[in-house]
Amino acid sequence: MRCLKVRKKLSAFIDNELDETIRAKIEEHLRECFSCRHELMLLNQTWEVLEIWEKIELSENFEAKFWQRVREKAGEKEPLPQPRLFQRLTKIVIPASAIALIFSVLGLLCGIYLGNMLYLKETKVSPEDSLSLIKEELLYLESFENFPRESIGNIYISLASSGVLKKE
Amino acid sequence: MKGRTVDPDAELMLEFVQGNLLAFEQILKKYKSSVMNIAYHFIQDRAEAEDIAQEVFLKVHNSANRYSPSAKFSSWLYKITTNTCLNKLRSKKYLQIVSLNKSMQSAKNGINIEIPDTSSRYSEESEKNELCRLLKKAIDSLPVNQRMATILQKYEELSYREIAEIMECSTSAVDSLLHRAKQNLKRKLAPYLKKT
Repeated sequence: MRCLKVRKKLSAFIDNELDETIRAKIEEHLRECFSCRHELMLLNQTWEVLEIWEKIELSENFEAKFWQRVREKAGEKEPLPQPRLFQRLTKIVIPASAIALIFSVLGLLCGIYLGNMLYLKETKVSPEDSLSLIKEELLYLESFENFPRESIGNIYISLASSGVLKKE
Repeated sequence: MKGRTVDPDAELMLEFVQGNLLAFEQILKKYKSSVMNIAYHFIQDRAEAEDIAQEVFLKVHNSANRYSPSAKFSSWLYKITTNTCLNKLRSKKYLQIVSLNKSMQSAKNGINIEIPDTSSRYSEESEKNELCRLLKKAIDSLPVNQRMATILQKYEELSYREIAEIMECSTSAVDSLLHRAKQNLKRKLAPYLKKT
């Protein structure tokens, strides 16, 4: 390989962008050629000098500024919550509300069912009990017939049976 | 039906298109420093660089619906970054500097300005600061394409293929740009290189 051809490839040689065959040929040439070795050294030094220009850090509020600009661009008047917070809330609050709603409905249905069961249990009576209840009710009705003498009830029945009330 | 992409950043971008803001936040966190530093090395002004970085991410955010993962996401992002930097450079503020440089340009080898010997003027500065200042001037004096290729290769450690994709040229063109950039910088920084 000639010096001119080697020097054209020194940049890619430094950047490790050559395939193995060409790289080997250049290395072979460099072992024998002082001038090309010197050129490589200078280019290497130049490229290494660039490293003194260090990277800079972004300002702390870079992201906050960015989201603010996004909101401004979208023309939103109300400030939106931070996306991260909003996303987290969405992930937690919506499923939690859905679960709470399901439990509330289930609780309500259980309450209605149990309430009905208890009511029926309390109001359920045996045939003997129901007979005694009927008798008791009849007894009350019969008691209306035996109004004491001079009571308003007795006077009313007497008047009704004599036909005075009908005439009036 | 869209096929699954191999590039995880492209996947994030597609998730964002579907409405996942967290995906965009991950992209922002991952690339904000790179975008900022490309802009800073190119424009050499911290405030302007931060403004460019903001603008780049806004463009990505607003053009999400038009995003198609045909290329690597980082290449697409860096292409937006370089274009935004070039637009900024072309803007009114920088036109004066560019025109000044042009008047001092050497047509033959593409080197634009001579770096003045400032060793006496800045004799109290540390050697590193002095060299950094000279370096910034040397990089600033490179033609725009050489400067961008240098920044992407040296500071972002991108391959020639990735740089070619970003700059929309062939890998051999990138090779040529970086070869000339190294030669120009070597010449500009020769006084310092002799000392070492």
